Amino acid sequence: MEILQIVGIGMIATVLSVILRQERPEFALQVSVVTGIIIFLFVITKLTYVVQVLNNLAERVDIDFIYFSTILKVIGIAYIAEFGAQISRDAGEGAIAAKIELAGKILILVLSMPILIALLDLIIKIMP
Amino acid sequence: MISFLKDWAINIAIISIFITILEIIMPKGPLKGYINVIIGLILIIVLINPFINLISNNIDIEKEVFANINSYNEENSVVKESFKELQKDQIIKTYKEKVKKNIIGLVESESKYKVEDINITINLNEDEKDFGKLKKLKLNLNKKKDKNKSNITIEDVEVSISENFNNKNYKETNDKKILNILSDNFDIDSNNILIYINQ
Repeated sequence: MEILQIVGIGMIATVLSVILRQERPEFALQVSVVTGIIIFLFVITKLTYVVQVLNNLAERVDIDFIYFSTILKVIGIAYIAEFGAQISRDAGEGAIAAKIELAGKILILVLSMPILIALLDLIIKIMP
Repeated sequence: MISFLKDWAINIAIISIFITILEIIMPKGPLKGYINVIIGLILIIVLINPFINLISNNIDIEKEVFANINSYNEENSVVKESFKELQKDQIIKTYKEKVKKNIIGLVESESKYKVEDINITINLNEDEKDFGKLKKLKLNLNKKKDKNKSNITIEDVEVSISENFNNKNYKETNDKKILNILSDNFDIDSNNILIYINQ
């Protein structure tokens, strides 16, 4: 029952964080960061199965596989960026969180450009 | 065509499931909109990709086919054109020969002369109404030799280099009978018929 483990870790970390916040606020932040990473690692191994299924699905469609790997990369970037931004926001650094999100957006745009170009090429091809 | 539609439908189904799963695992933050844009682009690509393949392939094939047909036609038309010219020349030549034969036969049967030489001019302008009509007729006649004649008198033969019909051995004649026969049979003005008789 992984969900019990994860919820247990989360509850303990929350209690620790609440206690530490009054005595030592800097440790409270570290506890939340570590807890987040642990939960993330727990789940990410499960996510590999979902990603594999998605890959199999993508291979059945007879278009370039690069599009699907791009989408998966984009989702990974979004996850990591959100993770970092939330931790920063928890620590009260809204400005840094906004910067992390901006970086995530820019990286996603860079990854999506080849798809945009490919779509444009396709549309130009259809013109007589 | 059926297999093409089947592939297309399968592609759309798979991409729909794919997008649904992605929506589930997508983080709920401000980045969601960006991911949605990319997913939309990929959806459009999947929707029109097989279609474009079909269309572009067809266009290519048609272009090839048309180019081949055109080059074949051009080659063929050149050959046809030269054949037409050749055929026309041959027809005119044959026609002239026939007319000449006709005239010779007519003149020799209706008169006591023998045709030595004949020269005809025919209207060769295809656009005109009287295409093929005799325009001018020149005849060189000789008196028929009597087969029963036993003693042949050999005369001095004068060789003339000039091809002109008006050389001194020939004399223009106004033999109404021949003129009328010719103008009646060949629908030619009698003024345009010139007959010379060897004296």
